[in-house]
Amino acid sequence: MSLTDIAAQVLSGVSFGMLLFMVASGLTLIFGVLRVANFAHGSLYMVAAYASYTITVLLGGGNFGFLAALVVAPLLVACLGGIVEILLLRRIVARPHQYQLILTYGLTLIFADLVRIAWGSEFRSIPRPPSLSGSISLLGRPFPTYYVAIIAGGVGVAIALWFVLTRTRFGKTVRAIVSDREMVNALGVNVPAVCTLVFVVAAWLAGLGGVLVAPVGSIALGMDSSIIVEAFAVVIIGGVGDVRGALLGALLIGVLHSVGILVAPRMAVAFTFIALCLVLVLRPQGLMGVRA
Amino acid sequence: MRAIVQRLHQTFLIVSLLASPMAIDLAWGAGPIKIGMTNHLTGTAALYAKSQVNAVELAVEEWNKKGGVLGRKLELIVRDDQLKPELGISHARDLITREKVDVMLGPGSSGVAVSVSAIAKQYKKVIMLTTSNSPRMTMELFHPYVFQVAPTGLMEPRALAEMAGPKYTKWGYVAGDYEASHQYLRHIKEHLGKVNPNAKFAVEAWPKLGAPDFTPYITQLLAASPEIVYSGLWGADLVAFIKQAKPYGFFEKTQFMTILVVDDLRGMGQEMPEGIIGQMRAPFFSIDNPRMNEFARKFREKTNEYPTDWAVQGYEGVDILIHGIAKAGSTDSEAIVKAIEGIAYEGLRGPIRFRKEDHQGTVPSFIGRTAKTDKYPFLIIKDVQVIPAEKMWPSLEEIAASRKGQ
Amino acid sequence: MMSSGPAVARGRDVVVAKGEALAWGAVLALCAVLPLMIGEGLLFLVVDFLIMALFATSYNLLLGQVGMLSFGHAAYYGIGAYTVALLAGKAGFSVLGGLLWAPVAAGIAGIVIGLFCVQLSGFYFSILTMAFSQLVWTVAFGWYSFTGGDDGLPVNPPDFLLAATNYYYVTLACVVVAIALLRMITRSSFGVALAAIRENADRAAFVGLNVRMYRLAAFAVAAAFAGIAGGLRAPLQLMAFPGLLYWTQSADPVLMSLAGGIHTFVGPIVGAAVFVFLNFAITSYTRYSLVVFGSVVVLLVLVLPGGIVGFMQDRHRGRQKRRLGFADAREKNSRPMERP
Repeated sequence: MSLTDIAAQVLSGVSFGMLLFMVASGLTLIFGVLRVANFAHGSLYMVAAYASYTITVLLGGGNFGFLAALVVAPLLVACLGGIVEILLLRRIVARPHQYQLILTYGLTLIFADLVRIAWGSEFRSIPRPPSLSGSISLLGRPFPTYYVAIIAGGVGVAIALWFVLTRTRFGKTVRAIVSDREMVNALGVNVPAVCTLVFVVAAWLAGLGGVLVAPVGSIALGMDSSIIVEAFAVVIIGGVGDVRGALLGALLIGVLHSVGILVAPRMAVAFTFIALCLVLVLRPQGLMGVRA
Repeated sequence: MRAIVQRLHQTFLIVSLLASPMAIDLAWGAGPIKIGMTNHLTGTAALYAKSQVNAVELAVEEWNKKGGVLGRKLELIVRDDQLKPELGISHARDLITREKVDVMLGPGSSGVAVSVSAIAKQYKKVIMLTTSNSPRMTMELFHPYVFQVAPTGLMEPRALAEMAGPKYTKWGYVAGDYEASHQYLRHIKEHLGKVNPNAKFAVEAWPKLGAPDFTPYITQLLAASPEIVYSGLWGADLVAFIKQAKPYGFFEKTQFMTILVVDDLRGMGQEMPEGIIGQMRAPFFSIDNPRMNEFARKFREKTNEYPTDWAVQGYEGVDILIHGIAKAGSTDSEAIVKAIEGIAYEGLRGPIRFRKEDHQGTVPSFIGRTAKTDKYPFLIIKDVQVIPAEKMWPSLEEIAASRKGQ
Repeated sequence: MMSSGPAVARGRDVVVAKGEALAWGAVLALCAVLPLMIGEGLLFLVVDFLIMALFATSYNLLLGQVGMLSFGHAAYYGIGAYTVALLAGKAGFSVLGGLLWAPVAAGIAGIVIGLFCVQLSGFYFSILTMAFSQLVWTVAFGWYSFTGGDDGLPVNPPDFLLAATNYYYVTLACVVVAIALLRMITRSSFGVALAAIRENADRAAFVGLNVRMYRLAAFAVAAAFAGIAGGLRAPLQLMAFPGLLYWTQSADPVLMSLAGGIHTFVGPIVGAAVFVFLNFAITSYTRYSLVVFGSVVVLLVLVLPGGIVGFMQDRHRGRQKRRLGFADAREKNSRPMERP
């Protein structure tokens, strides 16, 4: 095992970490602002992947099909998220958190079956867009162009979120709600509207993740639950409501996993949960969180 | 083999599939002969099960058109086990105690099959395992009522080691991290030791089922530069792995070999690389006999799909059961067992007989290389080697040894 | 709710208690003769229900009584099942003998894991319980030589336990005793202390309760009873398997408790009945069981936040108040949480 081998492992961990970040950043925002652990976030990601399949097939694949999917599918999912928030979540926002947990859990069941009804139970597969299907040479080894794009996309999302959260009025309101909801409420800010907007943005991010993952792997039922557990872990490890934490946590989980399989291949399933337990026991507020 | 799947809570799905409208039944007090089947109609591997249910239905319809068996119609009752052993058990019990089924058709997954077969044993009902292929069912967990028409997870690895063993010495292995694939690897290693003592596994990769990302495993495999990589991946996982491995030049750098089913070939379409060695249970396109051709035609008429490996196995499985009932002249389990033990069945894959000691059917393994064809919208395997059951199955001594202390 | 109410209300409580005892007796009598009334297939479904009822009731000791939303209760359920399978399969115990140790093993696991978990509260507690249960699952899934991995560990009950009727009576006896014990625990001073912690942990600490110890004790007791449920599950399924420990299995008691009503003792039992029987019926007629099931869950949360039993109680009280002609201000303001 040479140094370049390890570098290659790290790199593949980073590209998955970036995908995870897109899903987890939305999840952590919802968590921080709405105080809801949104199980259905993985469903939105899955719906976007299926939608991008349909769009790509309709438009005959190619770069254009991919671009169209990249624009349309996240928007569709964002709308879906908005509907869910306004019709369902908003009604129980004052209840204890187990009700929200159960509600979103029920939603995952509904979404899973609706997707099965709409797209069937067979898995789907779409090719990568032609201009991103090759690979570049990195450290003398091939590295897929598409992953370069994913990493770039992840960095872009991180920068955009950073900008919105620190430089805009909306972002400042969001951060204020995360740290003290009652105070913001008292100040006369329309909190429900902010909540809806945050949920829509988060859904859009999950959708983006879903579209980007579609050409990488296979689009299948069950992709919702496999991502949501990881994403929850990222949120907790990073610190609830903290986007920087989500970025750190996602990269950590990605790299931990990819390098970890070299060390202890059969323990790979446990890595995420061991990390989660350690963080919760030693630093429950998360890596980037501040102790309340 | 199909192990575990996460789907929530307990739901039961009952699909009662009545065959063609019943003719007037003249026999006194004789309702239909009932065939109970559990399979995973929902979940990640539902696609496989679906085509199997279609094929089993087709067989039952054919028999009913001919007037059924023993003057009675046949009725098929299918239940969804969602790949969960606990649901499989509940359904099997319910099928036997409430629905009073006469014979059982095995679940698709080995994990469920072990539990369902235990129930069949308890109630003394004949159970035909069509796709689940845990070697334990013919070895240590064997009981007189269980029959097997899939090559087991002991036979398949032997077949591939026999075929590829002499040619490659540096091996790699990738498969979902569950018990059947660990056993599978163990059997490959054992047999490799016999055909090529120099052969070694340089790398083993164990992604979990349904992993979203296989790239760390791909780079891990490539780092060891094996001559051949054997994959026990299937379905969505196999497709994801192949797609993610392509940009790494994986298929140029190493020979890839994998278990393969028609569904996966179809699912990948032209994205499937050429030259992959595929091990299949029943590739309809490379088995040329009148029975298979007729079945493929009828199956396409009924479902507008190509018959999959699971479809072929399901069709043969239920057909053997019904032939067994006919030959036995009754639905008495002991009589059916005797009848099937002595059956000479002309199947779609060729003639099938059952060895008395373990009720393993003489079903072959098919190994070939993926290649494009203008006959189908997907790649098929060509230059197929057919490895007969007799070359792969465990010896009687092995079977006796496995059952020691049981 | 710990203060004594007006004389009229107290008299009513006595009547209620008598009625309740009668109701329990009737249910028990029905259970005793049930095998004479229904077939073997349905009887197994009833056994399934009994086990889930105990699982859910044990869980509600945490959620309903202390307000701890554990998302890893399946760990103890599964440990109970594996205890029976391991003791019977590898240590020469009988199945029933193994069953005695199931709550012990699950209880010990509850103490060890609980030590870490009760440090946290709210959602962090939920996630940590889930993370630990996933770790336990990983062990069961991966340690083939010990647990049989994903193949599971077979349990071979003796012939007399394979018969539906016999196993039904064994399960019935265990579940009735266990649920009665749980009932005593919730009514004991320990249970009252737990309720006080749920209502206001700071105040409970202020009056001298060691909140952390109480929460740990509740966690371990709930785990032990879940272990009994799991121990009963293994012989029924003829095996212990990792699915029993998976996080989705942990959702079952949460859903059942919430559906039945977490603020009542019988709520989780009713919830278990709904999930086991109604589900069986619903899904017999539809291919889209998840949509139906998910919609039921969503509707329950939106429409019946107090659960089925909570809802019926509210209606019952409403009627009673109209009949008695006075409104009970105390009940209007705070619903008695631990009352059946």
